[in-house]
Amino acid sequence: MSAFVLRRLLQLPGVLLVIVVTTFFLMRIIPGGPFAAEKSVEPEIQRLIEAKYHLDWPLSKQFLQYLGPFNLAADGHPWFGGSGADPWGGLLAGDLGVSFRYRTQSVTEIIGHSFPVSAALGSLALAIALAIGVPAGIIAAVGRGTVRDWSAMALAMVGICIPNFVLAPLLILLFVFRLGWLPVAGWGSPAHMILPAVVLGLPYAAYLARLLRGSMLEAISQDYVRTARAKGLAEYRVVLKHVLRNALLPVLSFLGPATAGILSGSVVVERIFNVPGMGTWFVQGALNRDYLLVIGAVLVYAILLTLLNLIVDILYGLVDPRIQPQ
Amino acid sequence: MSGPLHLSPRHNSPWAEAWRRLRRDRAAMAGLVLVVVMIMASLCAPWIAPHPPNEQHLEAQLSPPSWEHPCGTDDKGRDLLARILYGGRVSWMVGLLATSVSILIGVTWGATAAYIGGAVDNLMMRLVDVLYTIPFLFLAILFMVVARAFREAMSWQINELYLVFLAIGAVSWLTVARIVRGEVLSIRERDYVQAARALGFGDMRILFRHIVPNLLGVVVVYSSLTVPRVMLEESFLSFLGLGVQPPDASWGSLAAIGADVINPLHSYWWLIVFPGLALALTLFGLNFLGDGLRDALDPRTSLVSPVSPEPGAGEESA
Repeated sequence: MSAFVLRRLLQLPGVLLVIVVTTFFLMRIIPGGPFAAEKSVEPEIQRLIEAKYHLDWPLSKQFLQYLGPFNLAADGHPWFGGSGADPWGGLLAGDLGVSFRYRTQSVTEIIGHSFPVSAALGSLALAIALAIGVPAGIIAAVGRGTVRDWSAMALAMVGICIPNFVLAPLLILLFVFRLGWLPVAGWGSPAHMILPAVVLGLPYAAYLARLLRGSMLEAISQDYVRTARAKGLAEYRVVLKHVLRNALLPVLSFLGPATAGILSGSVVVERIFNVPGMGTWFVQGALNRDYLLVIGAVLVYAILLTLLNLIVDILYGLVDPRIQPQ
Repeated sequence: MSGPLHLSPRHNSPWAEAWRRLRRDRAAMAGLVLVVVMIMASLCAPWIAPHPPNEQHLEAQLSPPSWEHPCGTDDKGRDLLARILYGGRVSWMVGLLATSVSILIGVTWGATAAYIGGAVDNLMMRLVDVLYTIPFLFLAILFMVVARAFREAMSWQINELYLVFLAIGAVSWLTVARIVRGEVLSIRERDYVQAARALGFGDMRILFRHIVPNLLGVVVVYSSLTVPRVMLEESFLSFLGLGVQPPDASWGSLAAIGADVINPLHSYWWLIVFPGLALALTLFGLNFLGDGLRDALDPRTSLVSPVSPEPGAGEESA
């Protein structure tokens, strides 16, 4: 198991490198640099700004500067003809660079204050998805073919089919403007988190319910369930101990992609509810060609998703000892 | 039962058999009807729509639903029902074309990787793994930003719509590539492929004449579940201002306008509810149809997809 975890962690730097190279060059082959939008700037000042951020260097050198760990500038590492005043820099030295748009903040700072926001929102949404989806799936599977099953599955389909930017304004209309129970869009108090998390979590609750119902129906037809019933176990114990545990694997494997989806979805939800999370910054960064900010955000997501998938794989082995991670 | 050597006279093809199973599935048939109705409504828009979609009724801006305007009007006094009917054309076009793009890339990628095998397979599937670690919407946003910048700089005369379905198609092929690769790995060992190889047929001929046609079932099932997904994804992009641009409108971009004008004083609820309803009904029908197709065409797989040891091998999600 530890060898498996180690091997997967060792793959991570390779994955990240591919992402950095691709995103960097993708954003840099775009005609017009990050300052092209600022038309009012004098050519001389524009040139100075570009020189400050080394945008006048050849692209390959810019990339090496970004990657690090050596600072290639005039005050950089002596190996590269620098003065040695500031020898290290770049990604490998833990520096994500500067935002070209929000010049008072580094990318690390922006991610530092926006990631906790997205993480809090995402975790709450995932908790809501599990809290609604798992019971709904169990109820539907246990009552297969009954009204409960039908209504749970119809509701789940509705949850999947209503886009969150349609659901969100309707909920705002109802709970904020009509009933006045919750504050208007924004961020800061727990009350601000409720609506965005519900909107973000509901579609995944629906997916989970459908998935769990399917895998539970599969498990219910197995011999060991008949055995458990035959030996006189109470029905709730049969369901919870024998059926549910064996039905959890597909749910677990869904959690990796679900987290990815919740993170993606939060781009839209953060926009609607005016939440200052990473999705908002990513979209702004991409639109402004603020490419270091874009790479930084993508890297954080890639690391997060890789680790989550790893955790899911480890949990697999715990839930079902028959599966050995390869 | 008939005697020996007497084959059943009603030996149906697998497709006829699947159709028979599909017809018995009430939810799937309801989905099919819904889908056909929605497509017909968009196709017949010029005859059904009460007004031309871009005609401005300046005396009736932002008016709620009435006999004159059954779904109300927007901020420029345009009839919303007409715009939804025409918007359906754009939504369907993006849905079908982006799905085609993603299936084309995915099938080619997965089949090639599995058929060649070895280091090439490894490299190609590693790339899929890498792309899997970036949330879908991020890739699509990046693609749109890059494609738009190029279009502006080189003044390409192409409609933004083509960029939208290329962007969505170009980032939605990962799961289909994995599924197809798995299928091809098993098909290439079958006897008829070995026979074709023994006959000295070329790789291309074997791949496209003997292997790809046998993927049809999987591809049909997967496509039917991809169409609703990409329609939803298009609506996300449009909502973020990176999708369909005016004067074109899709259900997603119409609902996005509705979501933007919402405020405590005036709700203008019809601007969200009706486009959202059109989109949701279509997705509803497509998903039921897709589920039914999966059960009908692929009786081996049950309700649950087999557990894969690979990370994130479940459904891609929007």
